[in-house]
Amino acid sequence: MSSSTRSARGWPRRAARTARRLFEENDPEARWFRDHFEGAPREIAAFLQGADIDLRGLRVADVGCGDGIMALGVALNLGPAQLVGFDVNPTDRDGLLARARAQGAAKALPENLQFVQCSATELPATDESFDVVYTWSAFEHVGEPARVLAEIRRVLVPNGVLFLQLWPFFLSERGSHLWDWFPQPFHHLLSSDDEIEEVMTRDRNGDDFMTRYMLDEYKKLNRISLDDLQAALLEAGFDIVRLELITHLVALEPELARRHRLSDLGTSGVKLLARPSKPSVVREPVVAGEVPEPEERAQP
Amino acid sequence: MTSSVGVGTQPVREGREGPAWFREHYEKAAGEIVDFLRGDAIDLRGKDVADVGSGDGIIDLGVFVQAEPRRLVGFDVEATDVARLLDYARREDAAVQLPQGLEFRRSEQTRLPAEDASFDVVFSWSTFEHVAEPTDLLRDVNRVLRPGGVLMIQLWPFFHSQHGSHLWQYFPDGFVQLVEDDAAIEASVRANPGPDPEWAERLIAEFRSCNRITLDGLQTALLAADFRISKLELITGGVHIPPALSRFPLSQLGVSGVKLLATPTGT
Repeated sequence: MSSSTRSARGWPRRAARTARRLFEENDPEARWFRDHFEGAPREIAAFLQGADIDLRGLRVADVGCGDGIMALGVALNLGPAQLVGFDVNPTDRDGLLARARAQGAAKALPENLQFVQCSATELPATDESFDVVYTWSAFEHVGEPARVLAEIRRVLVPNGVLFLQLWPFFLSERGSHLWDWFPQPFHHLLSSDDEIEEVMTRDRNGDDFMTRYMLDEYKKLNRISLDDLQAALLEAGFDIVRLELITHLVALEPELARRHRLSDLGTSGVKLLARPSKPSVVREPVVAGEVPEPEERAQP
Repeated sequence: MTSSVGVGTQPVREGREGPAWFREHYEKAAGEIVDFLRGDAIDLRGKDVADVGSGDGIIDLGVFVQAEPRRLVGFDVEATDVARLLDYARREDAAVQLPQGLEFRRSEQTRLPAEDASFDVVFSWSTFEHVAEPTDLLRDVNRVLRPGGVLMIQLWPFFHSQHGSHLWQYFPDGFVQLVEDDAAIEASVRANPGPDPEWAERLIAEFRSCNRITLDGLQTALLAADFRISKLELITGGVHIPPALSRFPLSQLGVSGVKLLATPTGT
C-alpha cells in the first residue's frame, strides 16, 4: 500500500486514503482484498495483543482460509514462522498471487505460507503442531462444529490458543449471507427457504453460477447460535477466556421478537479466544438459554 | 446509572455530586435517550413524556432542556428530591428553577399514578434491573401510553454481565456476583468500604435489589405486557471470562446492557 510520508502536515497521505476509498467504492475486488489482507489481520493482532499474544515466530494455522487473502496478510504482516491455511476447497495459489500482484500487495507468495486441503472434519496435520489456530467467518459454514473444534484442539499445543471469529450468526440481521439478493434485514427469518430459492432462481439476470453457489452455501449454513458455539467449544475441550460480541442497532419486524430471542437477534457475530482445557476436566455442554439458579452458580 | 425504582439512590456525598456525575446524566444519558428516539423519527418536542425510575432527576432535567417536551413526569418509588436536584443544577449552571412542565411523582412498585393513555413516550434508564415485578410494571406502562405511543428502555448493567453487581469500584475485574455468594460479597465490601461507609451500604442495597433479569427475560416480560419490540441495540464490550464461568451462557456474559424501543400491540 503506497503512502506519502513527505508532508509534515500529512495531507497527501490523507488525500491518498480518500482517493483510495472513493476508488474502492466502485471496486469490490479492491475492497474485498483490503478488508481481508489488511483489516482482518489487524483485528486478529489487536485481539491477541489484549491477551499478550504475538504471532511472530509462531506456528499458525488458518482453518477455513477460503481464497487465502487473509492468510497472506497474516503471513506477510504478523511474522509467523509458519502459516498453514486449511480449507475444504483447494486454495488457488496462482489465483491468489495474481490478485495480490494486481492490488500491489505482494510480488510473490512468502516462504512461510502453505495451503492444505482438508476434509469437512479432519485436518491433515500432526498432533500438537501449531501454537495458534485462527478461524475467520468460517464456523457458520462448518457442518459439525464440535468435531472440527476437537481437530483444532488436537493440532494445538497444550498451551496453545484458538482465535475464533464468527460473523454473521444465522439469526442475526445478515445471517443469510444473501444481501446481494435480499437487502432487507432478517429477510431469511421472515420467509421460507423455498421462497428464498424461488426469488433467487427466478431472476436469471445475475451470474447464474454465483446464484447457485450462494443458494447452496445458504442451505449448508449450520445455523448455530452463540450459545451453541460455546457448547461445541466445551465439548471439544476448550475453555473460553476472552469474549467480544459484534453487535449493532437493528430494526425488528414485530414477529421477529415474538419468535426469536433478542440475544440472538442482536448478536451479529463474535470474536473469542479459547484455550485447551486441562485434560482431567470433564465438562457438560452448556444448555442454550439456561439460567443457572443461584445455588447452581459456579464456585470460586 | 443509579436511577432506580427498587432502591432510593439519591447521591449521598459531596464527591458523588460532582460535575462529572452531573454531565454524565444531564448531557450524555439524556442525549442518548433523545438520539435513540430521533433515530426512529420520534421527536419529543411538544409531547407528553414520562420517565420510569427518575432517581436523582438529572436525566429528566437534561431531556427536558434538550428535547422540549410539553410535559415530562419523572416517576420513582422514592420521590425525586427536587430541592436537591435544583441545588445541584445551580452549582452546575444548568438551571435555577424547575422548568414549567417538568414534575416528579412518587410511584408504587407496579403502579404509576397517572391516567390511562396519558403519555406519548415513556423512557426508562438503568432502572429495570431493579424492578421487582417487571411484567406488572410494564403492563402499567402500557396502560399509561397513548395509542401509537412508544417505550424506550435502556437497561445497564445486566446482572450476569461483567459489572452486573453494580459494585465495580470494589471488584474492578467483575463477575464477582457469579462466582461468590452474596454474603461473602457484602462482607468484602463492608471490610473495605472506602472513605464513605454510608455510600457502601447504598451500593450493597443496590446490589441486593437486582432482579437478575436477562435480556431474554426482559423480552419475555415485554411480550407478556403486550408490547412489540421494534428496535434493538445491545451494549457490549470485550470481557475476560474467569475459568469458573466456562459453562455460563456467553449470551449472558457478553451482553452488558440493552437499548430498545417497544410499542403497545393494541395500537
